[in-house]
Amino acid sequence: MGLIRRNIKVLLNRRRYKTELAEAERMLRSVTEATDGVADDIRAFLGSDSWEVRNCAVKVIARTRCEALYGVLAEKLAEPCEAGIVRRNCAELLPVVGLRTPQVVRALRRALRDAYWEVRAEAARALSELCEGSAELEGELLSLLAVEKNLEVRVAVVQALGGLGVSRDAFGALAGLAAGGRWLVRHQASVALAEMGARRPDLAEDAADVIRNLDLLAEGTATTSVFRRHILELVDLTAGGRPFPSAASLRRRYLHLKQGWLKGNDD
Amino acid sequence: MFYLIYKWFHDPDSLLRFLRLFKSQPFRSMCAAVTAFVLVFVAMPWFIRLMRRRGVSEQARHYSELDFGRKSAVPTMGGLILLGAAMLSSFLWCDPANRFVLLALAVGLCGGLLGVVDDVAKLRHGGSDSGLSRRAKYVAQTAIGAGLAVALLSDAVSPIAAEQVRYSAYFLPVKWGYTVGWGNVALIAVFMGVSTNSVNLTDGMDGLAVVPSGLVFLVLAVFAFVIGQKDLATFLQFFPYADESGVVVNHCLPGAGELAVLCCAGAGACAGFLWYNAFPATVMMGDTGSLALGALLGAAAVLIRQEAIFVIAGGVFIIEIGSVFIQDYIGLKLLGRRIFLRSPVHSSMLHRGVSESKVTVRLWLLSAAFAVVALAMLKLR
Repeated sequence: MGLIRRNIKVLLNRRRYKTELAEAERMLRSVTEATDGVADDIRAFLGSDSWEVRNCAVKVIARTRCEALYGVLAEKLAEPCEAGIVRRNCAELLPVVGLRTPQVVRALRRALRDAYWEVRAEAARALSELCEGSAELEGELLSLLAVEKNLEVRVAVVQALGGLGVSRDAFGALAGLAAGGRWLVRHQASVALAEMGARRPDLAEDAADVIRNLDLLAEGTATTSVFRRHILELVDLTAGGRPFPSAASLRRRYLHLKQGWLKGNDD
Repeated sequence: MFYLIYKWFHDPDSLLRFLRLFKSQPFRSMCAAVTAFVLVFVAMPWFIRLMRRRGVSEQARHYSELDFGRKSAVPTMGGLILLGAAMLSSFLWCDPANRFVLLALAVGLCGGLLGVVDDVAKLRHGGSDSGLSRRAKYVAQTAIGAGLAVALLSDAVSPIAAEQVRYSAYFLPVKWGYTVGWGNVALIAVFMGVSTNSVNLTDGMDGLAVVPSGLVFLVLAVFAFVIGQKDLATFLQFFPYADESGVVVNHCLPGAGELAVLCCAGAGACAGFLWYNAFPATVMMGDTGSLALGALLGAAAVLIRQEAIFVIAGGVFIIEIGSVFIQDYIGLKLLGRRIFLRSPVHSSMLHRGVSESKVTVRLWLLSAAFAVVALAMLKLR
């Protein structure tokens, strides 16, 4: 209720908060270095009643690499009364600033069970970047995938599994997802398989087989040219038994779907 | 025009007695629909060529997940032909002196002009978000609505003689309206904002907005015809108000039947436009078309005092604008989070992997169901 009360207050005093938001947005656009003054301004914005202003402040922390305030990102992520969009952006920004402390990992793991789906999705992505190669996390993501219904979260978990991808279990799960279900999940599962194939040469041939045999005429696939194009490219890349390009290059090429924190304020 | 020919030259005892055909509103309605369809059908290929030559193409929104590159090459502002055909056909087949028709056409034209300004701004600045601001559009739309409301309520201009009908609000599908006096100006202004915006928001996929619009036009045409006929309006108990002696009298709105002709012209123009706008579209209506259609539909509903019927028949429009309202205002502004994956609804369906043509056809079916329910309201009020 605290959040709703604050948001109503903002809606009732729109003019005042509009000025504050304009200042925060100006700072986000123009400031690139974290000086003492900037840190004070960020702190002031973080105390605002407007979540849009706080959202800007969180982005400024990442943009200016303001180390003194990195802890705020983990705190905000765990704060139940914070706006979902702000917490989502905190989860997204933790790997961007490279904060890899046990507290951060614990907070992100807790966020995998958050009530808000965007936070769960970003937490999965962030964990895959911060805990590369963790078998424990892979197990956690696989069990999350078994119960998760939300499309965006499933996409994020599949993407995370591609980044972590260490076991045959994950490979089996991704192969199953690539063959059926929503196109976004299938798309991410195919790319994740390619990533696994690039990282583990013993799985490369199986991964290429799964990708080659994908049904490109299924609903959503046939009319979604981006999916078809990516799969055909992947098939082409591995034609004649060629190895997959590196996992990093595959990521750069196909997984640029989200860069929300660089976009507008409600992104 | 044909109605005037009937009025001036009809003579029951001469060879020109066949001109009585032009008196019949159902006959003129059908002719208006066919004329508008043919006008769009004939003019559109020329318009598409012209727009291609001038490089006037859709400013599609690019979502990173989905490839809408195809739409960026499609000529836009096809709404000019759609609106032009509907207006020309109306002038040919309606009574051009009828105030219902004149007011509806004026409002439709204002909506179209607003759309032109928005489309031109987008084209000039080369981006889907660089047209008129959301606030500017709301202000303009409600101003158009307020203008219509003032015209409707003022004795000098209003096409409705019965004061009780003018000063009542009809936002529920029941027999009785609620007398709100000049408060109706605010209600009608908001209603016009909703109707115009809802059609605009629905116009996000090939053929998605024209079919529901055509169906709503047809439903409103039936209501306009019934409301314009004293016997039918009395039988179906439209606008029952007590007269000075306390006896309840049902009112019809003389002249409202001419709106049926206009609505059929609109439906015909929508059908003609669908010929080119069906998936994969060769032309887009742009904001020119969607704002004009929304304004015209809203004006027709307001003029026959059937706002509730627009809400029911245009259920798809209401769902679309409702999803945007919930996402933007309840979700983001109040709760600080998203509620739907995407909004409006059709974007969410597309995002879930339902193909574009299937989303469109499903929403058409839904709007047909809503149109049937709205028609049932003729009796079930």
